[in-house]
Order: sequence, then C-alpha cells, then structure tokens
Amino acid sequence: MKVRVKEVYPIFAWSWDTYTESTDLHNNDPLHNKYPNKINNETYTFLKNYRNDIDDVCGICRVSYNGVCPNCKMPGKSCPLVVGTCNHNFHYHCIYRWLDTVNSKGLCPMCRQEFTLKPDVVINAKHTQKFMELISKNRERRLMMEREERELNDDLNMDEEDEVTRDAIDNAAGATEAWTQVPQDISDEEEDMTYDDPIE
Amino acid sequence: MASLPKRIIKETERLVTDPVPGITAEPHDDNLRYFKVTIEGPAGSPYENGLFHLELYLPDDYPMEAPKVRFLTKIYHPNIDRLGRICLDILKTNWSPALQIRTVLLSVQALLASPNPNDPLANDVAEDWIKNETGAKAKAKEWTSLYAKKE
Repeated sequence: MKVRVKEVYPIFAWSWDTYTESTDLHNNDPLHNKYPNKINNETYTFLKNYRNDIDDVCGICRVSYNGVCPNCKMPGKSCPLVVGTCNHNFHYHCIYRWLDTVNSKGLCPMCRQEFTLKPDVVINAKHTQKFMELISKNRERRLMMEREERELNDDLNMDEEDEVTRDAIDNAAGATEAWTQVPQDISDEEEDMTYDDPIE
Repeated sequence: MASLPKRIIKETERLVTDPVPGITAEPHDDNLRYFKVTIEGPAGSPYENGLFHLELYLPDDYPMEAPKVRFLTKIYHPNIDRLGRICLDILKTNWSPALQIRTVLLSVQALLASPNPNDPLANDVAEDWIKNETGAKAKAKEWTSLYAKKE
C-alpha cells in the first residue's frame, strides 16, 4: 500500500523543564529499554513534565504550572516557574511575593523548609541572584525575631525575679533604692494589658 | 473593588460542590470575600450536637495573609475568647499560602475536639479547664445547648 501525505498539521506544546528526576526515570523505564532509540531523553522529559504540569498546580495560586500567576496575562517567559530544592514548584511571582512577607519566615508553603532554588536547574538560573537576596533578608529577619523573643523572655524572667526579691526587700530595711524601679515595671505591664487586642 | 482572584472562585466552587462534612461556608452576596460559616460540634466533645456560626473574611492579600475567622456563637473554650477570637497558630504565625479555607475550617473544628488550655486566649476558661476539667466540660456542654442550638 502506498500512502501519499497531502497535508501536515503540526501541533506544538511547551512545558517548563522542571528537571524532576525524569532522566533517571527515563533510563529505568522498561519501555525505553525495549525500544532504546524510539524516544530520547529530552522528549521523554518533555512528555513527562507535560503530563505532570496538566495535573500539577502552583501551591499558592492553584493555577497550572504552565498557566499564569494572578497578576500576569501571558504564560511563558513573562511568568516563569521556579523549582525548589525541596522539589516544590511555584510561579516565580507567587513564591517571591510570599517570601517577601515577614510571615513567610523564608519557608516553603508546602513543606515549611527554608525555600531555596534547586541548583543546576536551567529555568532557575536567571533568578538565583534575586532569591539569594531574599534568603539573606529572611535569615536576618529570623535572627532579629529570635533576639527580640530572647530579650522579651529575659525581661519576663527578670520581672519574676523582681517579685521574689521584692518580698525579700519588703522585709529588709534600707533597700528603698531597688524599690523605685519595681513599681514602674508593673505599671507598664498593666498598661500593656489594657491596650492589648483592640477590637476590630 | 478589584476582581476576585481565580483561586478564591475555585475555592468557593469547591466548598459548595464538595463540602467538608459538618462544615458549611457560603459567600455573602454583596462581598464575595466574606463567608458565613457553620461548624458542627465534633462528636465526643462537649460541643457535640451544637451548631456554631462563624464569620470568615479573606483579606486583600489572601493567600499571602491568613483569613480572618471569628466565632459568632458564644462558646466556652480555652482558646476562644468572649469576642469569638480564635487562638490558632495557622491563623497567625504559622499561616502558609498552601492552606485554604477548607483546611482552616477543618483546623477550627479540630480545635473544638481538642482544646489546648496550656496556650490560652480566654484565661479564665483555661484556668477552669486545668483546675477542674470535668466541671469545665460540663459548662461547655451547657453553653452548647444554650447558645449553639440547631434550628
């Protein structure tokens, strides 16, 4: 039988190269071993990612990886995807906005590990610098928060000690000097409580 | 008002088509970021057979910022104060944009099942809970039948 091709309709599709162990999978795929030359690594990676990307959505905006973040119109280069070391993928704009908030503490929204870009992933390369800056900003914030918390705890402990010593001082004569400091602390505390939790 | 993000529309649709057992959440007609919520008291807890009304608001920054949730029904619980405010880590410091309305409401329901008097918001209730758990639970049950009656 002879077939003559009259027309060809090429159809194209694209997907982000998220490099999620697909090369390993490819080499271990029995189909591949049976027909080693039928599909190459790149095609396999593409198909695998394409299939995944249809099902998988960005954990922040819940739009497909190949789609756009809420603030973009055109998918693709203008709204890129990034891959975390923890293998969680997000639209660049979504994860950047999150990590830029104080609340994020620099953590991945999915697994709460510090979010860093997976090294050696092609699509991450362009963003490495920006994310490095974010990471150090968040680390500084975390250190500052820890320091504040420690100071607060120290203050509280000191107040407790004060209470104990105050009883002792109460009984002791001539210790008026220490006294002046203590009531000040207490009135501060009371003030805090009155202004605490304003009703929205 | 800015248009509603796709994610909120998706979440709302799913809350209606595939609701969480024992929880309802309906957006307000005038403001699609404001939800009327009901949660059934979990079985085996002092809140069993109660129906609790709550309000949930999605701030402009959602999901970068946690939803605001508040009890409208009076409830005797160490982590919920008399204004209905809830002490729950994921609503404050442990918020993650991977969480959503349904997971938040599930956590609130779980909080009803396991009160945590060691991290109190209503100090008097928590104290009562620690000193006299049986009595506190009886009071919670009484308040449930008084204020959280199902219609």
